[in-house]
Amino acid sequence: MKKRAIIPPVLAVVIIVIIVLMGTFTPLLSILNPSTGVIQNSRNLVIGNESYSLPGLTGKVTVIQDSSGVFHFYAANIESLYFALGFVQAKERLEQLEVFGLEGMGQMSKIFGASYQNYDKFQTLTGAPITAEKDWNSVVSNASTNSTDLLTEEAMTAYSAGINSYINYSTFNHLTPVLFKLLGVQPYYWTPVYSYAVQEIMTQQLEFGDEGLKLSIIHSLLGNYTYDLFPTFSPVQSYYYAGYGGMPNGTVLNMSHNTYPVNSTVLSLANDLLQQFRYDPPTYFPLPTIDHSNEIVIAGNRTTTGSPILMGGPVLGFSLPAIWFQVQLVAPGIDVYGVVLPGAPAVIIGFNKNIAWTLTDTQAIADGTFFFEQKIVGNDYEWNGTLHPLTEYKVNGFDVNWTNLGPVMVQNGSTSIVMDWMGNIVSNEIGSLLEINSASNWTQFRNDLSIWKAPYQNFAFANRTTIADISPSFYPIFSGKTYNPAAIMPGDGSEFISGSIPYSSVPQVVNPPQGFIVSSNQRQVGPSYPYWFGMTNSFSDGYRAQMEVNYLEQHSLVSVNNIINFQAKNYTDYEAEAAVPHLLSYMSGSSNATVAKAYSILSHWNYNMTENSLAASVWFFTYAYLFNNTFLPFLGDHGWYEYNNSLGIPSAMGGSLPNTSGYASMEDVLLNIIINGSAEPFSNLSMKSLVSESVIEAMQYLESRDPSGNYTWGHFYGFLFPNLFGLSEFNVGPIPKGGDFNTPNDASGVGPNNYPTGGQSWEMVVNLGNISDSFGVYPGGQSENPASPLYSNYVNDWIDGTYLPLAFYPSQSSFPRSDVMSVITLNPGGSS
Amino acid sequence: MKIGDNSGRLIAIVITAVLAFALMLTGIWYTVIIAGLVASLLVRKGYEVSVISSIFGGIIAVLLVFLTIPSVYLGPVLSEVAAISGIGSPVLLALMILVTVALALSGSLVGTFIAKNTAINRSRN
Repeated sequence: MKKRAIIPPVLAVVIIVIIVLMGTFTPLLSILNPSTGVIQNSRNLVIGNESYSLPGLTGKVTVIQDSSGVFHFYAANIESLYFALGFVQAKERLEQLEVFGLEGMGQMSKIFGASYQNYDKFQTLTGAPITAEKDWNSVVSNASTNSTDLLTEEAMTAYSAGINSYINYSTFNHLTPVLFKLLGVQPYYWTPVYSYAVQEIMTQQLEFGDEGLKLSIIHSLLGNYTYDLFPTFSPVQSYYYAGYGGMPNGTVLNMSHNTYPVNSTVLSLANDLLQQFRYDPPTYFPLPTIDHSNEIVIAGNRTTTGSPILMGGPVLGFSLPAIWFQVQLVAPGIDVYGVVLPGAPAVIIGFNKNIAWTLTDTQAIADGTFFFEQKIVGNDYEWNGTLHPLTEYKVNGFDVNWTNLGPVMVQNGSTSIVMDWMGNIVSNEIGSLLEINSASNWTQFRNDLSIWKAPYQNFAFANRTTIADISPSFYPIFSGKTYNPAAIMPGDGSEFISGSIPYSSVPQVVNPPQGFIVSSNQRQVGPSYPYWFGMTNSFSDGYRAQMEVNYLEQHSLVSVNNIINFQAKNYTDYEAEAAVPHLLSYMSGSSNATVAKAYSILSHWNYNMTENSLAASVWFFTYAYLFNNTFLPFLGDHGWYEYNNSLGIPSAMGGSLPNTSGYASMEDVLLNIIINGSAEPFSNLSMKSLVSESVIEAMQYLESRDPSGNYTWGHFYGFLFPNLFGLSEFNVGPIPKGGDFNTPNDASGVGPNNYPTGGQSWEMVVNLGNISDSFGVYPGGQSENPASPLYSNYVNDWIDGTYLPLAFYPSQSSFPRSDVMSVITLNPGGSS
Repeated sequence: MKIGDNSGRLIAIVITAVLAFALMLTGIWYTVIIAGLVASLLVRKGYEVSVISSIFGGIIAVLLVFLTIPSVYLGPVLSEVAAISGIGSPVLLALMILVTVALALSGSLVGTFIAKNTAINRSRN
């Protein structure tokens, strides 16, 4: 045979070897494979009628997607309902589900690589994965005697089976989401423990603070000035939804003004631990903690419908896909509409035919995170002078040691800081939510919430005759009542959590005489409340709540449309309303041309943060510079900047300026300073000088941004909706919109380098007189797939303030054809 | 039956395309090698035809697969993949076709080699 003759087969072998090597060392072949690779995922984007036969499903479920994209589930039984929810949610949001599960369990590096090791280690250290496992074990072991646990076990088991059924289906049909194909990994199977882990990260995002560490450092720097900067009670707040106005409770005040003195070793440990807190949250799950939520309930005698109206606007970090998934769940014994989280089969915020409810964060009691200095000797901890063995866990490959108070977070020799976080209480909040999904009156609703421990939430409630609000949670009371629980406490046995505020005494109100309730993250109870409930550095500054109260006091009769427009488009800044008249008086008569110009702009302003307002920009930046000029030199003189990395540089409006931090109490203090005309003890300068200096700086900044003078507010405020997985190509925005940190549509941050990426994550207005006359929208879309037309289709509605009808169809047969986008039929059957 | 050169090319392309398409549906991309092998053994028209049939057969097979998926969403999906992977959509498509053609070609080259050698042996006998 001629040598040339063997060239073709050798070439063939070389080609095959190259392709095999490519397939072995890169995911390219599995991605590009025309029959199984990424192009097959286009089949998943088809919106049309589908039918599935699913092993494990016990009854038929019809899922109708309405013309807005909302999924309505009609199931033969409860078990099938939750199975179907798991299946459909996984079909639309599998990447999100899986990432949240890994995040909660501290297992991100399993799929996303070693760069997540620090996060995983910290997450494991907090105890969240351990508690998630304990939560589920507790549900299973109590299911035979506790009806809530039994419901939870059934729902969670079916929901997990539904998710796993979709994982099997997608794997078999080559429809595994693109992200998994590109990473070359298979989705892991879901278990209820992952659901509780997701609850843990929600608790962490809402109720997991490092304030105790910060306050100890701040106290070491400022001494008793700490209480001037972080008062126990706001000097300006006047509305408390649950009452208790009047004189401060002496015991509470004494505790708050007695911060436990820590030595340099503890300070250094606190600083180290604050650095670790920066690992949380990781890239995924963007969620700012300094933005706020709204909840309002209005009694029937103040509405045009004659029935109560409930308004909800929970503020969370934005992401695409959004955190919420909008559904109606119907089966024998349940008919509920609202939004669910990835991983939790219960409607979190929504309504049924009898009641409606919404949630805001209480922001109370140091975010439920308490720190203790505790002595560790070898493998023992000291308690009341006696050594006890540490409880040692090995989780995710990390060693975690617990004392009687909680996990040992940092240690130097025998000195350690131990964290007692309320998220680590074994509890079943998912069960509580499952129960309220089918509650029919206030008594039932309130009873269902009695097992709620964390995160600390305000639950607004309405039915046809009752409006109410309650903040159920485990609010600790302390054994010694000696030291400020908002800072590090001694962990030698003298101070510890000895119990909680009784359920009958937690903040709550039913049918108040004024005919409305506002609970928008402001402190719930006034100074005379007999229990320590946190300091001003926990709560929202309360300006948004006060603005909402003012609106309701000024409007004796409101309609559903009034409330929608109020929440979406009322840009009145209460703080500006309170402060600008005083600022004008300080500016009045100034010979400086810049100050005079600002005076002229501000003096004709109606305090609305509208996109086209020049005055809004002048106010915002004047306030921001005034904040800096009042506090920052004082803080610098006291050594604050040595702790820049852990304390952050404070700035106004929740840390709106880039690379700064928000301190709500300073907003309260600053408004008080503006109103009362003295900046002492923080500054010896007169208010006239401070304000003039700030106005000039603000005007210089604005004119540097736009020398033509067109520095309207729309240039600085708008919303950015980032892709959850950090893929900036799939971000939406920034899109200009009115409002600011103090309006119902609130968020911190200003452009161009710090646009808000959080805000009202779900806006809902429910008319209890006719629930079909209810409306809502969330900024996102039902699909997580950027290639889908339902990826971000609600964003423009959200920006425009257009609430979509929340179509509540009690049965499949009542569903009008004109409102059907697609029908998914899930039948029992097939082989597993 | 004697097959003319033009007909041979056409038949080889059709066999390669149809077989490659059918085999790709199994999900095992490597089986496209068999399409090239079978086409070249059946048609026996030399290396030129095997190269041509692999190129055109491979392209047609990939296009046939595209017909089985909702083409309206193909663009958005490829854009998504391109954004994540940093590889542009045209490059992704080109790579998809290139690998299919390369697999068919490798089978086809081996098939033609076998065909030629068995023909020589038969003539010697």
